[in-house]
Amino acid sequence: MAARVPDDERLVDLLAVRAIEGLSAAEQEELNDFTARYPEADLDSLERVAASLAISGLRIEPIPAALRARIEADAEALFSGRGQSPPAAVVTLFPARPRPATAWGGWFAAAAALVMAVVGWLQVDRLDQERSALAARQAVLEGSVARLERNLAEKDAALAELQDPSPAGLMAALQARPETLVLPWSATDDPAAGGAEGAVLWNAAEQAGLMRFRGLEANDPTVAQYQLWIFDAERDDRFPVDGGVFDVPAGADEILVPIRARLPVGEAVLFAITVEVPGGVVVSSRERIALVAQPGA
Amino acid sequence: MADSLLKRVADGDSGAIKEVMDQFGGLVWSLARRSCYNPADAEDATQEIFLDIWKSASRYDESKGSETLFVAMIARRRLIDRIRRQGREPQMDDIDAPGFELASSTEAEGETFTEAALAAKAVATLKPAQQRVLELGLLQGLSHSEIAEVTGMPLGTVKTQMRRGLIRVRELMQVGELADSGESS
Repeated sequence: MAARVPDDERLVDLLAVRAIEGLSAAEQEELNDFTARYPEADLDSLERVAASLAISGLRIEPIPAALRARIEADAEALFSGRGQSPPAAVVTLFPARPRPATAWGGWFAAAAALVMAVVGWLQVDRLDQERSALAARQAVLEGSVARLERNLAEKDAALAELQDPSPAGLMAALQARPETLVLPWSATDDPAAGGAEGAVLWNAAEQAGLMRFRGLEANDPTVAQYQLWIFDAERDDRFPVDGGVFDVPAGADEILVPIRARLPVGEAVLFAITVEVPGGVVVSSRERIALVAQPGA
Repeated sequence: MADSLLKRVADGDSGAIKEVMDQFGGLVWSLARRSCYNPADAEDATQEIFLDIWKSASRYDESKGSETLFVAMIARRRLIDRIRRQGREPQMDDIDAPGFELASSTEAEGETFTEAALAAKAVATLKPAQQRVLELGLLQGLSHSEIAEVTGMPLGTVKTQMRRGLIRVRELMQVGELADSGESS
């Protein structure tokens, strides 16, 4: 069994950071130095602990069949590449010690020529096999590249459509999609809400959305800012997704604010606008909730 | 004793590929799905992870943990790498994570991940501050600085608690103090 982690505080620090959030290039180099210094140490143990905790409570979904097929094809190509490159056989053509030329020399020469021919034929055969394996791998890679190019083109098209610098363009794009959620805001008793109204538009497939407001109190960004929170059915509701910080300028009639969700949102079940310190917060105290919007409300 | 699946992969047994996919396809996909913005990203991540699994299979050491744990560890590494490449804050293991105390009894597709259950039980024995930073770091995916902000602890304290907590969980899992509490694989 591998040796335990040496009792070196910096090393343990690096391993803990790697297990939690990964290492920077400089930290990785530092860890590489430790690895060289302690080649027998079990440096993965904290990652295994983190992995144990990561899979606790994990809801397992079946892998899509098409994805599985691609992975299996990749693996087959990889394995055939391995299988077609056996270590070359060592063939001793001549004794190590030179012998004087005799009448047998001609026989040796003929035998050597024969062996050379067989080896040559074997090499040609091996090259053919390697060429076939490479062709198979190339076909798989070309398929993957084509798929990635298609994905990229689709993403570019979606981005071009949804990352329109004009909020009005974004709203139009979202409204054109039938699956986009449109939820009206409900004002709370918070003084910032007043008679505020409007709606939030959210498209889960594109992870894009926009907020529309009218009547929300203008804020002084040096004193307070509005912040959107998206509650996700698939997350702990103590930690809603940060949807971005924004301002309402004085004198504005209707304002449109694109949603900047910091994390993927699975199933949005509540959108809430809070009033926070300038720059927003990581976790809201929820002392001032101005507006909420909820499916089915 | 039959060779492990990963040993067969390392030996170039292409017949083991389908078995690996049967056993770990859902696990890897589910880990990728919950850390990627959309299904296309999750698909790319899953392909990348399996490529790493095929290449790393020879490093699997059954004395250090189950194959499930080895696969999950590789998956987390690749997912953290991807997140760092994309310039996002690492945000792992967050969605649908009910907390360690509940997770310890959670089953996935009828199979209890033994190490996961043991780790969750071990966390439950830690000091509250250590439980809190581990929960925020591993289940909610907050970075050290975010944990410091949420908890009000100094950054150095967060790192210390995190490190001690992980080490303590590792110790408890190694000595097997928790293994006799009715868990099965």
